Amino acid sequence: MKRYITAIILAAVSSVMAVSCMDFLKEDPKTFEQPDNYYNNEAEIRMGVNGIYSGTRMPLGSTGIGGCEVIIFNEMMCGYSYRTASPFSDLTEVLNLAISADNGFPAAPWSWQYSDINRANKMIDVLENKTDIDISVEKRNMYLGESYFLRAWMYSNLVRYYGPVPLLTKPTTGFNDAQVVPSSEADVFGQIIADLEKAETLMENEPWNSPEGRVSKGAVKAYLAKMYLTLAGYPVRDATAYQKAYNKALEVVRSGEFSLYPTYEAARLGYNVNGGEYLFSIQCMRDRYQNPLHMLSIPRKDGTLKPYISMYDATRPGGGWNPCTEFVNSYLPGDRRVANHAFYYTSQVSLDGTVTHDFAPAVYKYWDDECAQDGKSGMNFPLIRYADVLLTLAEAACAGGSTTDADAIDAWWKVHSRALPDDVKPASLSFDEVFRERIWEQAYDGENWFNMTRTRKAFDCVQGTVVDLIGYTAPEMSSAYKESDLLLPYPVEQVRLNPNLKK
Amino acid sequence: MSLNKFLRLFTALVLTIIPIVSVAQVRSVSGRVTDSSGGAVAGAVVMVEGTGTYTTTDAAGNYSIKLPSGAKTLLVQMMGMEDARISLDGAQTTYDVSLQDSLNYLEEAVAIGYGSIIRKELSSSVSSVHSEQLIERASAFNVTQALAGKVAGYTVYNTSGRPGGSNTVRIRGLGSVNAGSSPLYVVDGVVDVSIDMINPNDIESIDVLKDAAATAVYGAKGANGVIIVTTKTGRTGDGRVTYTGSVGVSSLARTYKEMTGEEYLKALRDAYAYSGSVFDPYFTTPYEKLFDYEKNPDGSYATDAAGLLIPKPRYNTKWMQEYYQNGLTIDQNISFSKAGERSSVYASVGYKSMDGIIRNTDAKRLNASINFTSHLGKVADLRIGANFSSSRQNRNDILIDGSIYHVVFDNIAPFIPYKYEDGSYGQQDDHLTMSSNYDYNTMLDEAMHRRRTTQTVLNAAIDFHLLPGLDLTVKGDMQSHFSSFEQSAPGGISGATISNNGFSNIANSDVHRWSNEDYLTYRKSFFSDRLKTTSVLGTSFYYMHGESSSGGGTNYPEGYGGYMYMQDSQTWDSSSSGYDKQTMHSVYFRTNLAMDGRYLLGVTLRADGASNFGDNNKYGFFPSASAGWIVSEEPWFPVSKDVVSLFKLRASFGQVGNAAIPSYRTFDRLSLSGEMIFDKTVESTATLSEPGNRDLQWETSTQYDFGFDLSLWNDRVNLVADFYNRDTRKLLYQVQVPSSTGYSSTWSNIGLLRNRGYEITLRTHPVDTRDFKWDVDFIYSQNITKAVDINGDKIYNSLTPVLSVEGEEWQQLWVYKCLGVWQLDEVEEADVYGFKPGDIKLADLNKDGQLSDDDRYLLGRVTPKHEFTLVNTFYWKGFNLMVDMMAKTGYWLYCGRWSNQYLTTDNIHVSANYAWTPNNQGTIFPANRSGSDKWGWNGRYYDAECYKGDYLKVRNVSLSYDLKYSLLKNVRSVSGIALGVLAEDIYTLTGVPALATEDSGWGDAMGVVGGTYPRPMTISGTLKITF
Repeated sequence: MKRYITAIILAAVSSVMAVSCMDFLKEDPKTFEQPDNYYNNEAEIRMGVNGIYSGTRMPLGSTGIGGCEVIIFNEMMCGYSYRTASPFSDLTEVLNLAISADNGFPAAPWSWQYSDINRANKMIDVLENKTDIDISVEKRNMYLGESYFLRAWMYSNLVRYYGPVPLLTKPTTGFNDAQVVPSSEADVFGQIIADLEKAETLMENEPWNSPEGRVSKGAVKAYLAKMYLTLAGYPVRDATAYQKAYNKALEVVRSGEFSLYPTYEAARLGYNVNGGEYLFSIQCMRDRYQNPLHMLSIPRKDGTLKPYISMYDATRPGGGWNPCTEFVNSYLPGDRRVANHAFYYTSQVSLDGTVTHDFAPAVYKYWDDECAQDGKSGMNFPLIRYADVLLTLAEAACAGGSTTDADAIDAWWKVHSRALPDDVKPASLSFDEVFRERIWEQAYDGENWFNMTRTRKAFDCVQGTVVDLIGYTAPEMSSAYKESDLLLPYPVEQVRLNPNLKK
Repeated sequence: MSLNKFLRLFTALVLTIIPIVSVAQVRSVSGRVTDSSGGAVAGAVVMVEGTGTYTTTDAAGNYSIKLPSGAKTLLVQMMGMEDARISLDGAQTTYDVSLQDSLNYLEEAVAIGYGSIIRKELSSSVSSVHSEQLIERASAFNVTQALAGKVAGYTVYNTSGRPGGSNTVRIRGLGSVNAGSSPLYVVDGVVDVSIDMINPNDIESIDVLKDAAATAVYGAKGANGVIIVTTKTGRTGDGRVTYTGSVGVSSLARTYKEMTGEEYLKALRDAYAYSGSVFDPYFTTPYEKLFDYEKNPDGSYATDAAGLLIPKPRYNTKWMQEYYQNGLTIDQNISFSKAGERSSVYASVGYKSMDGIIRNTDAKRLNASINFTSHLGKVADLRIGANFSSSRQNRNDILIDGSIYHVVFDNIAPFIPYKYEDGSYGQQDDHLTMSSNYDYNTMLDEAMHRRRTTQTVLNAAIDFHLLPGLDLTVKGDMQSHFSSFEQSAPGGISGATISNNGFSNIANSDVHRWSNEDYLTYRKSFFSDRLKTTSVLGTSFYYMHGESSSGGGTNYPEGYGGYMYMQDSQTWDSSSSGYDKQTMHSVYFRTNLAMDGRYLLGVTLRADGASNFGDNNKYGFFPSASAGWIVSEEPWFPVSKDVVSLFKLRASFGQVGNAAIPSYRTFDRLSLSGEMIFDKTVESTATLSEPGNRDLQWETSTQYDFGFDLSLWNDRVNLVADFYNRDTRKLLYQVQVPSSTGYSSTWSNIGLLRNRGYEITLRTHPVDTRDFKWDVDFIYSQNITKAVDINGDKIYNSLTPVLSVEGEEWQQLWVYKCLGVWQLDEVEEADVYGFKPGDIKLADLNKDGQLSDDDRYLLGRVTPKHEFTLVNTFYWKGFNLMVDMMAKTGYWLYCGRWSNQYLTTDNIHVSANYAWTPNNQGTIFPANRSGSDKWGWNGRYYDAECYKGDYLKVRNVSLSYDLKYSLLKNVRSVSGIALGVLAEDIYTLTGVPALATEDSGWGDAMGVVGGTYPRPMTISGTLKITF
């Protein structure tokens, strides 16, 4: 009897062992979404496109070195700013124009922008190829337009920082061909222009402005104008692009949708309005995504690490960037931009109203009264400003020389007369005048370094003249700019991971 | 080999090795097996020598066995006891057997997973530790700490002194980079038990399986070594109650010299003089809150020659004294053990409470366990076990802003008091040049950071005795593990909750596991006992299901009440949930052969399937083999048995797999957690977050081990030595990919990590008389982990100088060479590198005119190369004295805190007293400087900040006396009583200037001193009574 029982048990055990266990071992994730099962309707598409917008936050992104934002790098490269917050080697390299490949500044934008390029590629792929999305044609076009614009936006940053970069237009599905050879600057610009023109077509029926702060037709056309102008300048130097830039900028101006605020205080308080002077902005919000620029602009007490205007248990107590005296003094006499509490300030009443502090000029462009109370700024940061569009129109008309074009002069005059209303509107306008206006107007916007590399010009703020960038020594720089200083080195880690990255 | 083919092979094998034995049964004998004290021995193996016939004793120690014809001798074996042989003569049918406790280390049984084997016949590498060795450390909160230094090749890192803190355990080095590297814990056959929750008092023995041939039987999970824990069962006849208890006091074991207020003020004065900027306000503006000023007779402030005020600190705070405390440690255990006719029971309750040496840190744990065995006639044996534990740990030293208290505790200048006369706390920025104000003291005292854990382990197993020599074991177990992290703080704490009115959050994790094991064990002797075989064939299913959730709130209205009042918070945030499921399935076969008692062979074959691999790669096949040759058993062996009782050569080779990676890495992931703002409205995002790799497969380590066992002079000297090499290939590795793909890394199988080392265990009994015994145990191990191929990556934590580079040893210090300090006559030379006199002078090794990463050189490894343990134990007439010493050598530690003279963000070390000044140029300490002065350090770690980590420690000294030996010899009601005194961590000899010096880390960054909770010195009294 026992033998039979044994035999039965043995048979049972053998059969248990022989059961295929693939079902037992199957994985069924229940805690995250998979892209293959997603993007089925408009809401999911919108969330996917929303995700690409994080790439536009790059200027305010902290590089992790001394908590330094990318925008600080842009301004420091122009050579008219200094820092009183604790210095660090990455920044010292910037001011010595000796940026090494392991500097933290080059590393950050590279991975941020490519991460969002991949997301944009994914959304373009989905919107163009996935057929069963529950979405209207209009909305599909709108989101596709946004995706193309954002991809162009990110490539425009990459090509202007690094020069030739890998050009990827399809979402990543594997890593076997990840070592992509960089495309020439002309090719990258070609893609940027093509993407923007595509976005323009797709969004032609959309409104000029998006009050909620999404990409709008106005932003697409304005940025296309700027990119045409960039294409006309270095390194591609396509002279035919001046006319395209002029036409596109004029289209934006003639839409009548945008205008400059009458005063600089109104302009600062208007940051939070999408539209008016601002065509496209990084959208900030006090408790969600803060703008760090108020805090880092606060002047510091000499000799101590404490900010003058202490209002918050701050770990970032200001001193991040300060304009040098030579630069502040370069503005023409009576320029309203350098009046106290316009672009800059040199004194401030303490919060309790008891003391007035005086200090060397500091940036006031991002002062936020709410932030002064508790350290949190929810103020938007404009990425495309109307003043830039106006100056692009004027600069394109000059085409490197001068112009008597009425629209161009009118555009420049709108910017200039806000600062110096008592001046007389000129009958002709030179490139130098437009360029000088740019440097003054766009100081601390994060744009001037690109204005300089694009034109290979600099504003000598001591002489008050526009000079060649190469060979010019800016007040805060320890040496003159060389051709090799104009592009960032490829991040050292990326070169290791992709040996095809060679300059 | 495909799975199906493998299974067919197995089945065939089963059928060939299990002949249905049928032997004429002649007569049977019975009897009772007892230990030296007369207690029943349950589970002893009684076999008829020369045949395959055997049985085991029941809970009362009784056995009954049918004798095949020709039976001459009964062999009785029990783990931990000497074998007994009984000659069978004529008609006698009752043989009672008394087993002696085994002093013979060679005959002890060693658990090897799904069974045991006597050490002598072991051909793989296994180390064993017995119960009494596990409870000799009162301050060891858990088993991992109790095991430290007991087993060659078993290394405990981050030996934290935090009550209830867990440790990092590695067996034979680091087996993986990104996948799990911790050993597998198997408690009474239950796989993957959280060992921290097991009471060391309940443990009978621990066997550590080290080489691949040994761990192979747990192949799917055993790649990093297996620790088999066997808990106590009832085995001593009549009901017996044992109480063990200890009470101890722990205190800070080491201190270092702290800066005085006066010294700090001088450093400030030097700093501002050096930096040449505006003087510190204390010297120009009176600051009576902290300083008394020297005054002129007319009451005006006096000034010195430089025209500065002369402040004297009003306070001189020694932060170490303010924050470290003495802690009380209490351990209480009571157990009951009984074995009856058919069943046995062991039950225990334990309570352990431990105060930390940092305020507001403590841990408490309650354990209860029961083990029950029953003999179900001749057909089967039943075992049921339950283990419950619950613990609570206050870990306020991990502060709510993420800082670790013992790293930052003295971040306030010494001239600021802990508390002012009015009771308010001294604040960091009472020091006027502070840029920040982290109120670490209030965080420690007012905030809460707590962890609660509850664990239940249930298991049941039935052994069916199917045929003589053939058993079937069917086993099931279930574990549930719940843990909860709670954190909260009231509002208004600088650096943490200053901008919100209090915060709290809670994170729960609930993990369930179950497993099922079914295996056949077949024991059979052939050729008149010349060949003994034991084979195991089985299958197992593991299932793990985990869910987690967390939530938090900030901004409480009046009446903040901690995390239980989360519903009152005005802002709810950071809620999340997680779900995880992992399954594994394995089929395994093992056979151990012993021929003529001297040729040993073990073979293990397994197929393992894991859910977290790609569909085509779920199963892996892992073979291993080991062989042993007991040379001393050879007839020709020239040396007498009295001199060489054992000389055994061993060799093993095997492969094991590792699947310890998070679930679902084969799938692309979307993250919906992000948000984007559009005109002050929050919208959700869906972003590609992680790329899946559908081809993920088993990480495989291939290990070979050569060793020998040598026992001399009747086992007075036992030596075990091993050399091993473990190559881990197809590393489950988060390989870095070019960022242009949109990703930074992806899980992949690449590379090769190699561990190679030696282990020596020497156990000797130099003196062994009735009244006096002296035992010496010596353990040595050495391991080198080499990153042979890590895809060319450099693996590092940017906060430390510890780097892992391909082709080099894993985790080494790469630092700049310090040449001292730039001197006044080196202005131009220093300026090349952007330095000035008083800055640290680092060597430009490649002479390229700039300091870059390329100028770093390899200083050395950060993990000890050599580890020694030496334990001397003396017994004399009831007294027992044990001295346990250990040493680790051959490594470096980074201890940078002592050389950064960066005033105003920190309190500083006394080395600032010796800092460079124009009048003190012959120093290696750079000048004290003001916070806004550029300083030479710039994140460059240099060699002068590194110290040799070598240390020698008296880990444990215990003295106990057995009162039963004299005083209470005749007291019947008490069968045992012992009193003892125990001192732990009483002395460390080291050159590392820190509180915690052994080996430490910030997070996973080895080699950086400062991150580990200092281990306390503990002195306790112990009592053990058996009724």
